Amino acid sequence: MSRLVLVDQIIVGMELEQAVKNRYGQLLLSAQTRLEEKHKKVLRTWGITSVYIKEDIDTSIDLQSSDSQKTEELKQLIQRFQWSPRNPNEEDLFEMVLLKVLASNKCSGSGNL
Amino acid sequence: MKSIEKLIAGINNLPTLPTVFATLSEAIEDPRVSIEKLAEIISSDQASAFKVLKVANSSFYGFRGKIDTISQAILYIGFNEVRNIVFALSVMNVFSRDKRLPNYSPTDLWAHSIGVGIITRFIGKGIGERKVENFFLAGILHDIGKIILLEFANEEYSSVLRLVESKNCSMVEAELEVFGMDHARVGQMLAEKWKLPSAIQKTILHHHNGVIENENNIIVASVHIANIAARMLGLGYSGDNHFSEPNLRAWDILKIPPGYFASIYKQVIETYDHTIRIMLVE
Repeated sequence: MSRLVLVDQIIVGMELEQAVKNRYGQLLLSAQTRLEEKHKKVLRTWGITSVYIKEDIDTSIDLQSSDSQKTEELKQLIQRFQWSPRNPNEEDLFEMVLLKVLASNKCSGSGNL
Repeated sequence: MKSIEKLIAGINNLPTLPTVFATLSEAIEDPRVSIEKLAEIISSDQASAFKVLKVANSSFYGFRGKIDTISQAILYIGFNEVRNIVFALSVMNVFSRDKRLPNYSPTDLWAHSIGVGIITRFIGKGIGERKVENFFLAGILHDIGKIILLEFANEEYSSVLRLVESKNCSMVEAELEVFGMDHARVGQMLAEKWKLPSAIQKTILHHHNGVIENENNIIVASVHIANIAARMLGLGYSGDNHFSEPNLRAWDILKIPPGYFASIYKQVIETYDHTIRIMLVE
């Protein structure tokens, strides 16, 4: 699986799913490259704003994650979005985002979306 | 010329309607028109026809890999669905993808809009709506006003982004300050010009508030929630990092079963990846 990630949201260590070429078709970065800070600079220099990143999607991940980890991630989400769930639908919405955060953590070892 | 005048002039100079869509809409008015004739019109634009087949074969519609021809697509997923996919592809072709600004490009915005379209359709399905064909299109077009602003007022739009940064305000507030109108109104002007269905026009105009006085508008409420969900999930980028709270009345209108969003998470991400590849990359 892959997802489109903005260059600004790239986390060092993420893996490219697709090769990146510049507007002249020249290869800038090969598929499977583990991204580093210097790669972000190259992408920005060529005006590239987003890239395809490999991502494992595992919906059972919530079962494997400890409650304390989920609580911590939820706190961070509330801080980032600047609002808290007010009803079961909004709790469900946060739960969906939490699944994505936990999947991203599993993929990159970091806590950002 | 003032930016707002330039904008309106730009909208007036846009093609009346994407050609294939216009021809299709005319053809459907004829009660004797056959599926083969409709398929022939769609197939006249081979690049679009190819993409329509790929979208129709996505898990979104449940016929993965079984649809080989446009006629089959019309038969299986319905003419209105096929027409809306054609329309979404045509609209994306009307606007340039080169009008990028630092950290903000039409491609990011279309990716966000596709994410909103997908979640909107899932919401429609989740609440048991029988006719969900307009849900995907309404989601895809909800921010069309931003695309117009990027296209016709590119320089002024940089000021909007700078204001968002410096004042930590929403894009709507910054747009009102720079242009005197926001992207919702600009988008609705285009929708009016293109004579899009009233459901789509209302969605474009009211997607921030999520409800319309004295109306139980399910599509507007769905796009409102889907827009917030897509931003929270980081699907594409719509220009700012403000995450507004949903309008509580939108939840009352929709009555989405609790637990539904977590249950569709995997499908949403898979469909999003598949659809942006088809519509934006290939």
